[in-house]
Amino acid sequence: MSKKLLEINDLTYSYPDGTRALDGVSLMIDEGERVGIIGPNGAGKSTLLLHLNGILGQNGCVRISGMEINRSNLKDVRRKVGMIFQNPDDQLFCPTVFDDVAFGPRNLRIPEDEVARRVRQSLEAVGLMGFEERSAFHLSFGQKKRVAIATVLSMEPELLAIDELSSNLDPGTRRSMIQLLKELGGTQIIVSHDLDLVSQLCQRVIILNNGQKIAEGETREILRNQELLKANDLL
Amino acid sequence: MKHDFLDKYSSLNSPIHRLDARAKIIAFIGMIIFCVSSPPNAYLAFLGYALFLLIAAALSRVPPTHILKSSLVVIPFVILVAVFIPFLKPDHIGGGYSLGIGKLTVSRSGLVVFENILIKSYLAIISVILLSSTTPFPKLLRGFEQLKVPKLVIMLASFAYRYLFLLIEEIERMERARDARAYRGRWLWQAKVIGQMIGSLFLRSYERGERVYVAMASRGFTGEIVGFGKTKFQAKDVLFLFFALLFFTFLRIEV
Repeated sequence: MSKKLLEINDLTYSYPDGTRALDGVSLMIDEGERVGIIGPNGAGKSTLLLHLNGILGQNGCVRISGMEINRSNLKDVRRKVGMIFQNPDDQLFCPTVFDDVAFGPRNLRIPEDEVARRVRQSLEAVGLMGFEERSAFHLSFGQKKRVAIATVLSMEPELLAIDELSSNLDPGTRRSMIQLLKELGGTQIIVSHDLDLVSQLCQRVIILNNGQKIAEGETREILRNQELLKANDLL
Repeated sequence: MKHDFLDKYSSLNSPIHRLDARAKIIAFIGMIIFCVSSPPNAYLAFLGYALFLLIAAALSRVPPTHILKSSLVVIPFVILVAVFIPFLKPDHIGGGYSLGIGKLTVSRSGLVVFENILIKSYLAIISVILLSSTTPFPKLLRGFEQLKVPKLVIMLASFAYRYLFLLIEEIERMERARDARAYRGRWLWQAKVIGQMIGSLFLRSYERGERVYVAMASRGFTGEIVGFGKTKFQAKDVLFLFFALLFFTFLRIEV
């Protein structure tokens, strides 16, 4: 038996305006697994992601390696869960690439020489060595995505949670991003409605719609079920 | 790059560029303070400050046209404010000149003030332009941070730097979308569209702000600003600062 890294138990969430975004979602992810969460627009995928590091919720429904997420351990949780958002311009807010990648480690109060080492390592992992002093504004979209990944790698997370990896990417860049995620390995949650991407990366997928878990299973099985996909606006 | 006016020459490699940001900040802003506090008739001192700027500019290899062009952007504002001063009040010491147009008079001390404002502000503008075009903005921020400017101010400036161009691009996209639907902006009722654009730009920025905050919180930001780290002050920085300040003091006291 492999270790359970993420456990979500009957998670329900309504936005302040009363919209119910998640309705009794339960799921489990093992260490080392790469799981896809697919669903149409507005299905609650991104809301679910925001629960993984306690941005929303903190109501005890989510556990990271057995630890319940609550207000007192947010810092620890946010180190363990690396969140990569859809729009890299939201994630890269510092004047230079170096400062962006160093932002997380510095918040963890890691000494500056270790921070520098981690920045170098993270940029190397995403293939952007020598970009330290550049401004994010001067990068291509694909490069920004890579830097966004580096900004969480530098915190040495146990789980990578990635929102819409492939949106706005041209096919070549998309392919290289898929390759990058394969190389990075570790435990990953990939939220997308790009079925091809999910089938290339994930052993297991979960379909989310209207805030509920509709189906869960092996990627090949699920993606073969045309009826199911059509019913959930995925085909 | 399209929006490079801020950092166009700041990453050249010259003796001035290689100086520590703190040394440059103190020297260039110090020069402004020395210069502004000089008596109005210290023309020789003004020449001295100009000489300092000229040498710095030459050493930095920033094209003079860039410096002059940038100064032209700012100087009209100064003139706009200063141009009324000579007309303000005919004083009793210096006397005034009647222009023969109604009660309009020009005061002698007003003219001196006007001339002084022009000289001093122009030197100050050149000084700031030289500072910003020999120091990349991130290094400038780091310099100010190490000079104990409050971290919140530094952070605000760094966000402004990061998102200014994105905002400009967003405006350009909106304008394109607007013009693509046959907007010509010829009639007064079309002014309403501008208002709507400003409103939606505000909402978009507000939403972006929320998303950026979530991204910050996700990387362990708790409201406490850590800052950008330190640089080392080297012998050449000390030397540069020492001679610059010595020169300014000399100009201020002796000339």
